[in-house]
Amino acid sequence: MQVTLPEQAPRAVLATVSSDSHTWNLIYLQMVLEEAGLSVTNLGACTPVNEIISTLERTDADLLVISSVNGHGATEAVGLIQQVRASAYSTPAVIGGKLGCGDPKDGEIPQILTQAGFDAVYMDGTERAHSVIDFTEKIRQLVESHEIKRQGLSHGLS
Amino acid sequence: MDFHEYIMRAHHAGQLVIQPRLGVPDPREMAARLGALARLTIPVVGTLTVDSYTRVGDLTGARNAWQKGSSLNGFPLAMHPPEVVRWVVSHADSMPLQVRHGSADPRIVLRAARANGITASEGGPVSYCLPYSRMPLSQAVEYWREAVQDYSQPLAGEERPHLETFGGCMLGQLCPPALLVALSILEARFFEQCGISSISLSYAEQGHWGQDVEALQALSALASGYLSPESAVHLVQYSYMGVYPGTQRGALALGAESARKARAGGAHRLIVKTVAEAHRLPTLSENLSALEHASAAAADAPVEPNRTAHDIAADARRIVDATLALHDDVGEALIRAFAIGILDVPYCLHPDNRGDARSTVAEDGRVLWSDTGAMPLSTSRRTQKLTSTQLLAALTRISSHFDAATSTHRVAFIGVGPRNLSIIERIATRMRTYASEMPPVEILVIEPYSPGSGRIWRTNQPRELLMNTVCQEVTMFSGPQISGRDEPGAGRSLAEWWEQEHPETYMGGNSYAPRSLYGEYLEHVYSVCLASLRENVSVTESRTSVDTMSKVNNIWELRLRDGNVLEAETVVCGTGHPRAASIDNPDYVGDPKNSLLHGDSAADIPIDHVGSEQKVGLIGMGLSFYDLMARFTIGRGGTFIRTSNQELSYISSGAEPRIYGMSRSGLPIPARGRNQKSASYEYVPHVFNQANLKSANLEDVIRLLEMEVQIAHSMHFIDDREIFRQSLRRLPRQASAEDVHLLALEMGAEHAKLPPLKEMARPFSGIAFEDQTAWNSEILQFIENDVINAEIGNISDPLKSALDVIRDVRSQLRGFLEEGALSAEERSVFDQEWAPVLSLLTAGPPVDRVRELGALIRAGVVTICPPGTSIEKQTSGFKLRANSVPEYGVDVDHVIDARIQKAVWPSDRPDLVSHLIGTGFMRLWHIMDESGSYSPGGVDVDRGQRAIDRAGRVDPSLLVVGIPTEGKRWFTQVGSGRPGAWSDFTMQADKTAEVVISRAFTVAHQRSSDPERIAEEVTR
Repeated sequence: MQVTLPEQAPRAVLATVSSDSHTWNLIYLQMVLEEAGLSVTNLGACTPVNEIISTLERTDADLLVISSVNGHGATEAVGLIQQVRASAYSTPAVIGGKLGCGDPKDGEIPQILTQAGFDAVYMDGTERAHSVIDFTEKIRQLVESHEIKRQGLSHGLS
Repeated sequence: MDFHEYIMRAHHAGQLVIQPRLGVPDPREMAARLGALARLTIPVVGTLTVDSYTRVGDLTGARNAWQKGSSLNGFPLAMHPPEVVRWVVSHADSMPLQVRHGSADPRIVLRAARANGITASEGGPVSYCLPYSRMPLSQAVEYWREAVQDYSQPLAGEERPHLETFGGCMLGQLCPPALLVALSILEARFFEQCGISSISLSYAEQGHWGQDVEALQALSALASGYLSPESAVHLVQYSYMGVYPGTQRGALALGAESARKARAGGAHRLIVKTVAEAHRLPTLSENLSALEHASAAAADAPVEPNRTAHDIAADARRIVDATLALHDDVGEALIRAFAIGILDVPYCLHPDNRGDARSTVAEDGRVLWSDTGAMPLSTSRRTQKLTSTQLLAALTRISSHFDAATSTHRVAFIGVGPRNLSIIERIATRMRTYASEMPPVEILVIEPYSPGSGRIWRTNQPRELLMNTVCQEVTMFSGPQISGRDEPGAGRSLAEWWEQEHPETYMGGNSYAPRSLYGEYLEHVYSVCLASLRENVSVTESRTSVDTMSKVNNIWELRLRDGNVLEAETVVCGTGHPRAASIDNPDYVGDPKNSLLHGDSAADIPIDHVGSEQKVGLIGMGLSFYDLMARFTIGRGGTFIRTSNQELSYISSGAEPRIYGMSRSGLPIPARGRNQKSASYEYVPHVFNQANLKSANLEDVIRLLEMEVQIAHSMHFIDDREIFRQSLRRLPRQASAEDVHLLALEMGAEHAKLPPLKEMARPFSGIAFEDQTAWNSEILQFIENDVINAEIGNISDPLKSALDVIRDVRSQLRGFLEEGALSAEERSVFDQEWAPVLSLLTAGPPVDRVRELGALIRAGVVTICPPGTSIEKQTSGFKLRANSVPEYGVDVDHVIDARIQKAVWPSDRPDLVSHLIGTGFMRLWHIMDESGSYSPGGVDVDRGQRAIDRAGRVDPSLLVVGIPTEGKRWFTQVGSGRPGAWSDFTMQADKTAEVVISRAFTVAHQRSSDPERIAEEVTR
């Protein structure tokens, strides 16, 4: 399938945490998101948080996707999303991958990340994380709700 | 001993030098491992892999982690005191050692290596910058230049400093070999320029034997052309760097093939992986056995003669030449080559990589360019990009292939009627695009009747039983035929197939096919799907049913009726309509000549016990009533003829009983209007659309539906429909069918008003009839009018076209119901009160059937009982009484319940779904809220049709489709797809097929360890 995107396609920013040098996960997710109709800015390995924030600003993104597989995702992503939210970006954000390092406390990670500001968590080991259907449906919903909110805002301003 | 010398000595002795990846933080442990390696009798090179802090020059980080006792993922070479490092190194004895790292800035690591007397390392300004670092390439080139110039200084009493290029391993996989060869050569040129004269050239095998051997040979050929004759050069192959097989056998098989390939291609050294590496860091003994295994495998492998089939060498030369032509300084040339895309690594996200080039894996496993970008290759290419699914398949191709030696993913389809067939058709269609990347799959088909047709559509049922959908609206292929033969995803509709295969009986696209004929078509589709499956998909059929199933170690054990036991990783339960209990064990009342039978599929109800002189009462006058009527008359030799005045008349065979039809309403289900809609017809609702249904309650739904029906009806009585449409848009949000009617009235439509739906479904409600004769003439008149309306057609006739709208908006209604927006109470009311009304008004039989009913009534064979008929059991037979006709009383010998029983689980008769509910693997779907709790009787599934168990967990290994999910899904009795745009039936099939296929991949990965390893493994 050749992905051709409409000009007004919703925009996603794809990144990882600053310690994670893996990229195949980002490449794969870029394709999944593009196939779901989004235009993707892929920030690549070891993404610094300030680059994520400046890209959200520059692209006026509809979605932030964080993927990490080095096991430090849970720790680093809390600070990441807090900084994003502190910069007043309400952009829907999802995170997934191998987020913990096999600790018994890993079960709490999804809740911690949700509380920190993520809208959905696709953590390794949960069946949800392995379902592309669930993932694309969720991001579609998030993007839609963001668009509605955005339209609401622009109406309010005009 | 000199690193290169050691390796060449082994090579001349016909031996491949084997090297593990090895790095643990503790000096004692590190020393012990090096010592054990050194004691092996096979030629081995030792490794010191540094940790990730040291890799990025963060010595404080390394020290903190070490002091805190946190685990480091390598040996902190620059942190431990020199005397400790020297003590560790001394355990290598005469075995050469190499320091491995991964640094874009290697100054600290290379200095530490030399400082501790280690003279071999590896990497490169490109290969350690682009894949893992965000450092600009120009910066990495400068750091590397400085570090290597320093590192290459000869010291008295030490061996020549040796460096290995990592450029032949870019991203680990999916890099076409010509580029790997070129990068390896270019980094070697860079090293030479920085003063290095002992070099090894790396190449990471990509998976295809011939291509990899040719790549190694090309690397050797280019080395002699581009590198200085003064340099000592050898080749090192990396065992497959992508996702490694997870099974012991698969990993060993890949390891052995890798070693033989290294030997065949002329490599001197092999860097291996261990079997355990798929799951964790290997132990010492695992390290050792991997080395011995590889060495043994290589020992008897012949070196292959030169291959030049795919011009790897020629393409690599083009790339090297074009790069070196950019600048005399190799470092500067590399920077410029990346900037203009002469060098362009597929899937590399580094900002200095152009990212125009793309690669793919061919069917035979070779890595090819799908887009050559601006690279100077012999052929330029722009083909379609990989999809995400194909990428995932490509990344796991090798592990799947080698794991296949030990395991196959087994998917059991329990019950293969239309529903499961539609999923098999979508799986077959999807597999045609990536069958070779799929893990091997065994499809287990378990169906007591013929697979494809199943029980309901079996081919040996009476020919007079017809479908309820015209044949041109029926297909089981998910797309139209394109190549002149039927293939999965592209085949004939039922009408097309019928016309070509049985032209003698074909009566046009708007005729109704016998069910047995549809069964034959379904079996054809099934065999087309089977024939298309490739060699890594096998099918096993069992002509029986599943009694019970249980899970042992995540594998389903299916106990079959025939006594066999099957195992499967995934089960798709499509068991369809449950069988009525009394069919196997009739509820005979006294004399078996007088029986009460409970409903089932009309073909499955035994009727032979009803004799020609007897009277039989049929409860319910829906579709099964017409089916039984046909079986008792046409099926027993009766015929219909047209009389001179065009009326239909029945010629008795003498074998038919007297039939009494009865129902609450007294109304036999009316005919569906003769079809005037083409197969591609699509109705756009005026008000019954998603926007209006959002947050609707039951009242809104019915109101909107009645409005939609009233609108369709009014259209027939209005001259300017456009103005009417526009006025409709101005109706208030809470408008009703009455408002529509008033609007139509304003526009002059006087006869457009329709009664509410419930009234239309109960036209005789509350009416008393003088006597049987009065009732008879009333019902006959009704039936004759119905035939006339139906004949006019489902577009032209106002009433039939209005009611047909309910069929047309079924998809919207389904969407609404499946969202679960109704409260428990509302859904219960919908199911009990509204679903039967909608079904009665829209699910009608072909008009011919109703015309036949009229003829049979006139012939005295069929009598329609008045509304409100009840049955009383007598000592012999039954008495029928009706409250709408005084003194009504008819004695009948037999009663057959001809209502299709609503499927409700757990059922009174043992069946698989009831068993799975009982054992907790499934649960009933409930709506629970403040209005109460309600279950329509079907089981709970998620969007991917995965069962939800008693504890509320989604079970990815158990899918349920069709009838058993009725409730959570709606109107699952649909048993066919529609030509043209995909209907819900086909969309559902495709979605389920995707779940099954991705499950095959997931299970394969889980077996190999965990899915995220895909991403993790391939970069290191």
